[in-house]
Amino acid sequence: MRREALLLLWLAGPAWAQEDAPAEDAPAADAPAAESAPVAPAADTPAAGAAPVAPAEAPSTPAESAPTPPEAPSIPAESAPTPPEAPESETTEAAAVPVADEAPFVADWRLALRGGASFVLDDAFDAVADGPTTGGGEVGVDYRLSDSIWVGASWSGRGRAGDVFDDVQTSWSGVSLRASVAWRHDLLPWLDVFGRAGPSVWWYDLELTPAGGSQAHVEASTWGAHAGLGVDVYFLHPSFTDDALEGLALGLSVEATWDQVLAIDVADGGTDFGDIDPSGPGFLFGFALAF
Amino acid sequence: MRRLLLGLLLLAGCDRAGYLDRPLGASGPYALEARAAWLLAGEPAVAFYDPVADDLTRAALDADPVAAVPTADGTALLVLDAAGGATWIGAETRRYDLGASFTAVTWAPDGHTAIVHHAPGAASGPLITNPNQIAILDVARPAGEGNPVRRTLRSFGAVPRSVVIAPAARVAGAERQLAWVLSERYLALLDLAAPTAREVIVHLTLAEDAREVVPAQVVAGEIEGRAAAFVRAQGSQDVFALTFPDEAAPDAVPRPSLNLLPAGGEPSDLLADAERVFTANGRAGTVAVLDPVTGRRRVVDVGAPVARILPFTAPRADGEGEGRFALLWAPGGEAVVFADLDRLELRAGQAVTPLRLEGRVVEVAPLPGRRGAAARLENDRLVLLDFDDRTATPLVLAGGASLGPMRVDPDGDRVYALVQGGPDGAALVTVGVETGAPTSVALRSGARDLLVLPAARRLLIDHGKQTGEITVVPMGAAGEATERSNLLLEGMFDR
Repeated sequence: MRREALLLLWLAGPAWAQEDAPAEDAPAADAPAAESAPVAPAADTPAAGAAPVAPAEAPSTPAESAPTPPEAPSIPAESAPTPPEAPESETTEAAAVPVADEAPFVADWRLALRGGASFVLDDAFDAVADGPTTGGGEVGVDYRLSDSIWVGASWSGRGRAGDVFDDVQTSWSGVSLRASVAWRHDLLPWLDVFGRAGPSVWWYDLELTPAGGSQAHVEASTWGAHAGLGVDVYFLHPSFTDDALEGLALGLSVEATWDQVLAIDVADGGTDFGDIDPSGPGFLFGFALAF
Repeated sequence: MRRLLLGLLLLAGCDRAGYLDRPLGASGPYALEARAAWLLAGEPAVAFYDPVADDLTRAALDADPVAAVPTADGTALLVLDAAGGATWIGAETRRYDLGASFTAVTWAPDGHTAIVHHAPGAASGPLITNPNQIAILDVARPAGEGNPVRRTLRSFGAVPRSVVIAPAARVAGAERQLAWVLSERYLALLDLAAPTAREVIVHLTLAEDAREVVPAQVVAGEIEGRAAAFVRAQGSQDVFALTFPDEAAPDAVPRPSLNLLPAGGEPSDLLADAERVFTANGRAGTVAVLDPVTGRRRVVDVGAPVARILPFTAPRADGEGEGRFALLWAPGGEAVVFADLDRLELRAGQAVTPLRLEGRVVEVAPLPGRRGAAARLENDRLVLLDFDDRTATPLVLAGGASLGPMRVDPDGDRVYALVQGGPDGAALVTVGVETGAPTSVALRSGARDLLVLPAARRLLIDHGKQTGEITVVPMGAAGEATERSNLLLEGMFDR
């Protein structure tokens, strides 16, 4: 239930952001105008400095004083073209400039929670289940070392239950601790591509439970390595939402992976069942949070 | 990306080998000389376990196995399959096309000739089978012309019940190996040395005789130097004596002449030597001594039901050299009888020594190399019988324990028995014959069968699990027992 609630929360996130955006934009546009009214004229001080003083009354003066003495028209002739609204329109355009010039969002940390499938290519796995697919997931954290280079650690798990010989129940699971070095590149502020690789250590657990027989339970650990290529797409990003999510980006992450693991010898109760090599491809899909 | 997803989907849909989806279908184990074997119908294959090397190997079969029969010497296994074939697995593996799916094998004493036939009531293969069809097989030769010989026996309203093959001998002027196919009211006689020769049918009853006479035992013998065979049949109080002519064509089955020897009761067992025939007449509690030449009969009341004759030789108490004796017993009987076969006809009741036991007999196993036997009683007691002293030494198990299968080792030094429900739960009890002292080894779980693998000097206890759960016990070192669970799954990831 918590998983569904979380998912709804995340899905609703962009909608909230879109609904809130006009409300935030309006004051943003107004505020600079109001605040910049005294500022913008300051930039135009030479021209506008006289306008508030003399021109305020000058327009009516020339019209009414057309028949006035000849030296008088020279003054209204200079001040007449300055309309009272002109300073306001100039200050509105000038107000957008400071926001556009803010520094781009740069995250130093990234958290990812993803699920997916991996495939065991070794035919030996046929004796565990009627297909090579195992389901699993990974939670990981990455830290930026430089512009493109990240380091990370993750905890992943996968498993599969099945049967063999009709009445022997099987249960296969493995968890691993992974370290990785990743290269990341921002194609767009909200779109990253990345590749990563690193060593891993696996702890596997296999149970064979024959109907009416003795259960075989094998626990084994082994070393391995992993690699992957993926994309992060941030649907909530500071470039979309200004400072409402300042310093935070939330998006989807998908990655194609390959796990290479040393084969495991499965033996229990004096019986050597043989070796399983759990290596193979897989994919991960889920959420990424950068900050 | 679409291509990647398609590839992953295809990968996810891969099918595995079909045998992994079928039940293991294990049957056995079968005891061989140095190995134990299981039929694996699901693969199909035979799994051989070598307890000395602690190694399991598999031999693939071409079709689903139906039955397996070890050779008499225990060095090989013949597996019958549902596709009408037989696979002989010994020093090498050979497959023979028998033309029908059979269910039983009877080996000749030579260890390589066999008659493959249908067991009564067993069904396999197609919906309709010809129960009179047999195959004569020589596993010492590869399949080819004349091996196997497939043939159908003439039927006189019955189907074969069992097969007996006599040792090769000179009969009717030629070296022959006679085989008897036993059917209700008649026998079919074959010569395996001339496997294509037309069989001879020996009717045990007249056509108008409505009795249900079922031949059950054939014993080779002699009558006045001529080859003979004695047949015991259920439903008859006679022993059928078949005497062969002095000469017959080597490529034909010799035609015997039939005589009846009244036994004075329905015989349950038969023993023949060069001069006499002995029958144990179970219900009557008598032993008959028959002279096949004169037809003279001496029936001796032994005072207890006797259905089995276990012959042995022993020095005579009176110092007159070796004598021929027998232990007579019957399943369910409360006594055994020692009989002096040499003096039985002459001294009748004085030549028998009954020995009352403390319970009903279930089984008696002779001790190889010794004049003694071990008996298992219904009241969960083991008894050591001393043939010299005519005594019985009971071994009482702990209260509540029930006695299971009993075996003796090839040297006759020890008796092994499985017990359930004792203080240790399931256990293997070993009794030293010399000392009579029992020792016990607790087992992990209940046991179904106890096998002796003589050449490996090991006992194999089968715990009756489908995936193969066994305990291996070195003979004479029960404390070094090792357990194996899921044995038949060994190497499942490596195939």
